Amino acid sequence: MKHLISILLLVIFMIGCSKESKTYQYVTVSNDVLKSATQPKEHTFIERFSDYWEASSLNDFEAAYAYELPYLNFLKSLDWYLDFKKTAKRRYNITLLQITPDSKDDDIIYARVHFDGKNLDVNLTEKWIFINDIWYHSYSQSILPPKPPKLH
Amino acid sequence: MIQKLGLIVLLAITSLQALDITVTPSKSSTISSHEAEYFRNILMKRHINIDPQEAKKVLKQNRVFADYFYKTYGIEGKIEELRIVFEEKLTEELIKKEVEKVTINDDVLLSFYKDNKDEYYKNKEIEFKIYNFKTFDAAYDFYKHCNNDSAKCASLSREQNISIVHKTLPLNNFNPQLQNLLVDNTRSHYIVAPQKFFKNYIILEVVKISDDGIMPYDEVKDIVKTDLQNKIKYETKKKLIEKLLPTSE
Repeated sequence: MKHLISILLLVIFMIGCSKESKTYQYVTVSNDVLKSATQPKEHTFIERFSDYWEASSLNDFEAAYAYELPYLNFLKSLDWYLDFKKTAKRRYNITLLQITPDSKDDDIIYARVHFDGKNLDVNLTEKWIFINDIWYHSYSQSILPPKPPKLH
Repeated sequence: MIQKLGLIVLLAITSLQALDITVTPSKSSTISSHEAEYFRNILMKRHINIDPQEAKKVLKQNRVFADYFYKTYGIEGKIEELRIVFEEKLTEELIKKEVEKVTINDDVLLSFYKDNKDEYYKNKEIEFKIYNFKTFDAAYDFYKHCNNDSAKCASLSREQNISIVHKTLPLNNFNPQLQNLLVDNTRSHYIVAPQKFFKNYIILEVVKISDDGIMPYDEVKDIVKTDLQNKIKYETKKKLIEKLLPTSE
């Protein structure tokens, strides 16, 4: 019985360690972000962000598709997305430089991101949105049909 | 005229195989409550709010005018016009119905709202009623009997057949002369004593002045749904063309 408990604890410990030591080949999170992220919600954001960009950098766009906002996936099929991402098949090194919650809604985060790759060295700001406990990536609006008319 | 003819067409169409349209003079001049409600909904879309009795009155006038037009001038050429309008309307309704069949879950709606929040910004709005009178005495008498009670005003106006304008407008589009009558730009639920307004006397009732800002999700959920449905209209139409007109481009 003692052995069984020991093994169980060891397994739990190993699972814990493996989660802690999750490494990314292409994604780096700056120390500033790591220091400023104090809330669990921010930690889950960093993990989702890293998973998304790691998948994208590995050209695993099928996996990346699941991180896009639900309504964007509702409007655009996976086939369309894969076709859309054809031109994005490049390896990037991505650094998460800064995260800024929206001043009026902490379910929205603006992420300052550095992209470094072949013929590319640029900082961009991305929007991520928290929907029912999950962070989702928002991709460019320009690819969508026109926005609905303003109410004011 | 068009409304009247439209109604006749709706009746006629039930007895026809295809969209052949026949128009005959109406045998009934009675306006049903359903027709009045339908007409009110049309006017609501133009931001005009009239009560059911007023709607029936206008519809009856239109029906009489349409009959007179039919008998005096005939409707040659009007059928083609109607057919085009009617077919266009049915096309729109078909797409709308097909779009409505698509299930949209709450995560999809909420994410659309959150990603497009700025679209749901609302300026300060005023909902108001204006009661119209020919003389100051009539207006003052009405005001006295209302006793600053909105429900009393409404029932009195019905009893006395007083014309009312009931509208909601952005506050900055509200008539400047009327704006001067407001206590301030935030207070709601009060009635202003009679005032001379052009040739008439009016009583202004401020029903509500709403705040500006981004409207909460729960308040605009239906609008968000319609906006999202509008985005899938094009795809839906394309699918219908493939299904019903497979050989067309």
